[in-house]
Amino acid sequence: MDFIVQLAIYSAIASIAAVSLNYVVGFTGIMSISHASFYGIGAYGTALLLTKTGLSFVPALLLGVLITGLVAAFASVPILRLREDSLMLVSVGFALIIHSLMLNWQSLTNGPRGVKSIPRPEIFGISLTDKNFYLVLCLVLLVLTIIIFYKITKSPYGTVIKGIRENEEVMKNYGYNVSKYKHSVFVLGAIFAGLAGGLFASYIQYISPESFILLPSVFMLIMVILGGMGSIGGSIIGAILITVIPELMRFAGLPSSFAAESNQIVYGIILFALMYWRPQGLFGKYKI
Amino acid sequence: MFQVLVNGIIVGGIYALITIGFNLIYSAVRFYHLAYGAVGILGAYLTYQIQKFIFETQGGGLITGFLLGLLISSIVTGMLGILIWKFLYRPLRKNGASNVSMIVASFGLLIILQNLIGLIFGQSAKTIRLSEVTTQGYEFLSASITKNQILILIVTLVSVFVFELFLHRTKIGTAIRAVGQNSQLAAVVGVKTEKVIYITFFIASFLSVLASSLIALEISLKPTYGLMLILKVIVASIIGGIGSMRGALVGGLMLGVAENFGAYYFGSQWQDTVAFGLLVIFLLVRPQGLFKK
Amino acid sequence: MSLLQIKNISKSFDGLKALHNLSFNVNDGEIVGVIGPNGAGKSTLFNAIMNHINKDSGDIYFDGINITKKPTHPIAGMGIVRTFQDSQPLPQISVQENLDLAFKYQTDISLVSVFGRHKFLQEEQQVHFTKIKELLHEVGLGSKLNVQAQDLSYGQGKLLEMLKVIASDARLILLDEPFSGLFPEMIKLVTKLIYDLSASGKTILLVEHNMQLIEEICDRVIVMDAGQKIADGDFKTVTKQQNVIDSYLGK
Repeated sequence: MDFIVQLAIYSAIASIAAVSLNYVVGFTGIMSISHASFYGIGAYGTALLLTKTGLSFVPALLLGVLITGLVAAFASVPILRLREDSLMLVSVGFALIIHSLMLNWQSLTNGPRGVKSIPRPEIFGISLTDKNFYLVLCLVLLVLTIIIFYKITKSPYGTVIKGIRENEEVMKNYGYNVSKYKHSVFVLGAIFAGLAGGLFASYIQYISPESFILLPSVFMLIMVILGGMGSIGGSIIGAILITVIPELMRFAGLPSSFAAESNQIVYGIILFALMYWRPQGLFGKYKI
Repeated sequence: MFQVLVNGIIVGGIYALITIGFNLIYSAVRFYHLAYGAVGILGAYLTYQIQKFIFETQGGGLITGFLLGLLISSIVTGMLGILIWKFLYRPLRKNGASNVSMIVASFGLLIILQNLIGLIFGQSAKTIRLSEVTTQGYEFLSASITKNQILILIVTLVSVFVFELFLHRTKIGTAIRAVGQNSQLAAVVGVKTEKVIYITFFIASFLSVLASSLIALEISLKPTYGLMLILKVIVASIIGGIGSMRGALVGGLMLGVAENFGAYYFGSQWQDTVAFGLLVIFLLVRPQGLFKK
Repeated sequence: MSLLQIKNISKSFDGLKALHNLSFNVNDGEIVGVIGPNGAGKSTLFNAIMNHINKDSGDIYFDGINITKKPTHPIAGMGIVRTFQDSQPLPQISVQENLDLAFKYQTDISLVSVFGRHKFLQEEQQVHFTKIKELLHEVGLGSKLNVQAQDLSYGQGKLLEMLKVIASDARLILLDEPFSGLFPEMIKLVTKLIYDLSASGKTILLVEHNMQLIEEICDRVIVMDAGQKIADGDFKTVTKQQNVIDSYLGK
């Protein structure tokens, strides 16, 4: 039972990240591979604030999210100047630079040793060290995330960013400041990725640069592509599937020496198969 | 300081070799074959195994083993390259996949290959040696250079030279360049586009095995190098200008030198950051690279 | 003062002169045709006006304001709209959404509006939108509001693009081969839409290959060849000029 609660918590956190990535990639068409970096910045920000300052959970999380947003705002300037392939590449470059900073900026991040003993939340004096309470917290935030992104996508603002995904030039020719919209989409997406990261840090109570290399960004992308571009529900299903499958495989008794590689081979196959048979994903409405 | 430059040129030469192959493929099929690095590394592992087999069980010399291994694995990997195009990429293309789809698919392929290598050969680093004493070298203008490194330099120079000749002085080379510039026009003029693409993949895979084996010689061999290598290749391609052979050469060399200088001034842990910082800078300031296609 | 003033603009691509010292004016309310052999630079002209490409030299004025170096979206915001050759609507969104995006007051929607009670169309625009809805019915798209634009036929797509132009309420309209690929009934419809636009006081610059339509619709014609203006006047006069005949026959 405990194991299922843990799986549910991971799925909820992954879902928040996936829904926010879907907003950037699936809905608006910005092919960014740097999302996990914002997840990581949120995690590190919250973790460092919780352990090095006296801040309690809610302010630390909010501040961590704010920091993520600021970094995203800066990063968006170079990243969003490019199109398609180049944008993917530069976002990869950005992700690798951030990882390198996590590893090497030892005075701030403690380097490869990571940040230990991150406390569980204390909200309004109630200690949330119990897993079940933490799950409730995650689910509440997930529901909030879903509502926010749902409202956005159904609004006139949502129509504008869909138009941007379809054809930026045409949108500019109708008078839309496409660049401004892309920036605000990118930053909002990053903010929610940071939120997911902060939740992750406080739950798992120990983070190191290991957890935030390139592959997590790819996993998030797989979740979104699998679930379906532009579909909020699809992203959640994708997140759950990608979180749960490796655990199931472990359950099935694959020796752990095989597990990591086999997992990734499965992901590789999923990616390739999706591009061939269903580039819009399981529930998606838009093709890459 | 000069030592740093020398090291940079050696590594840069290897980067250049594999970047040339990457750009060759790009100019023929117009998308990023991200799995390319992993294919090369796979080939290097094959070279390693064959050399080991010959040295340990057949009583052959290290050098003989290496050359034989290189030959065999190049051919095998070349065939693999063709198979990848024919059975994986071409069907995708025929299905109408967009460029972004192709990148994602080729990334999936990279993950598969890299992990297969890890499963088959294990995660520990392997090295290829050419003689019992590996670090014997010479002093040259206040820089020391090992025998291995001289070999690498010679191989790289010769390969690039031969390749340039091939591309510009043979019929096949001209056909490859024609397909790269305009495949429809080339087909109209009677160039067998499919055959040219096969040859391109074969040659490029050969180059990647050569370069990866040199890396195994100079540094080491690990399954994760496939990803690392292709990232460096992409940086070099962006610097040099994607699709340009000359650009690949210059881009690779610049990257090698910049990395080594970065390591010298900032510490070796910042080496990758320098590489990707270069990528970001070029994409912003001169996204078409130094040489136009 | 003319609504649109093109003054001596030049643009080269890799040594090829796409536009060469081009100058002309377009006055308020005119329908001006732009004709010329393929490669004359007609689409480049539109790209230059919207600053989709930088000009090497020269200036462009709209309503007296220098728009040579402005980014595309404020130029559009000042009241110019353009279509592209083979214009088709944004494919993976609906007909309704395509139209919504073209309405002129919608270009500054912020995130805040998501949580307010913002509707796409304020009162004044409702009137405008009702008119468009009638037009939709007239051209046969009335029942297709919720259809994805990519499911429309080519001709229907072009009609939708014309309706978007009308919805934008722009003062200056740049049409790039609006008739190409259309059946005769569609051509009649598009012609009528253009006349309606002109009647409501809009200014139109029209690139087209179909000489009959140009003669019928345009007040005046500008002939381009190799990036230069070689004639400027009414259709009958201009088409009798020797240099125009030469350029079409190929020297």
